[in-house]
Amino acid sequence: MKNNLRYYREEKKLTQEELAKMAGVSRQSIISIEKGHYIPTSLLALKLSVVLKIKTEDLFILETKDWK
Amino acid sequence: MKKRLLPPVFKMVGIAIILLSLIILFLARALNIVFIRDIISHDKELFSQIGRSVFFTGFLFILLAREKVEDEFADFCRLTAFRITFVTGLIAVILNSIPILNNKNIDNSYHFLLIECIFYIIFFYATKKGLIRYEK
Repeated sequence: MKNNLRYYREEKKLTQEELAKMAGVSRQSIISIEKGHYIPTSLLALKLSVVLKIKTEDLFILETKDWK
Repeated sequence: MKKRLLPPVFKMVGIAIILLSLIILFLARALNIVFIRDIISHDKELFSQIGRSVFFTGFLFILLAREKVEDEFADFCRLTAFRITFVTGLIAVILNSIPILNNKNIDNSYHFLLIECIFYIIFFYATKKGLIRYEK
């Protein structure tokens, strides 16, 4: 799964720490999601999309390999 | 679901307990402290059992302490570490049961438990730092 978290975070001029605080998670979680090391649950994905005011499907994008 | 974990400060308490028990054991051996050596020689088995219990209590505190920010990623790291540690433990037991590969060092359950605790901590922080990735 691809994600545009970093792009939208930087667009909103938020630091990882600020976004983490707004979503109620650790900075390490944001780092891991941005790097693609961790795929968040639907709950956290929705929280992040609410915080960034972006549609969830724009933030997290399914790739062809995800269907296999 | 409410998580039944210890407060984050228990991580430091656990580290302090482990270090303290290691320092005492090291000092007793290296510096020939009469008082400690007397206790050890008086009832060596009892002393080593207490030492091990204290040592593993420290590890237990570290394992059960919650993170400063307890979120789903902390759960993920914890579960990944438990899973890998459990599997490596099973592999170690299987390998140890093969006569040619029989390693006398892990015959003792305390040694085995110690290795497992260290493995858990390594895998937990490796997952947290992104060294172990989520692969679908």
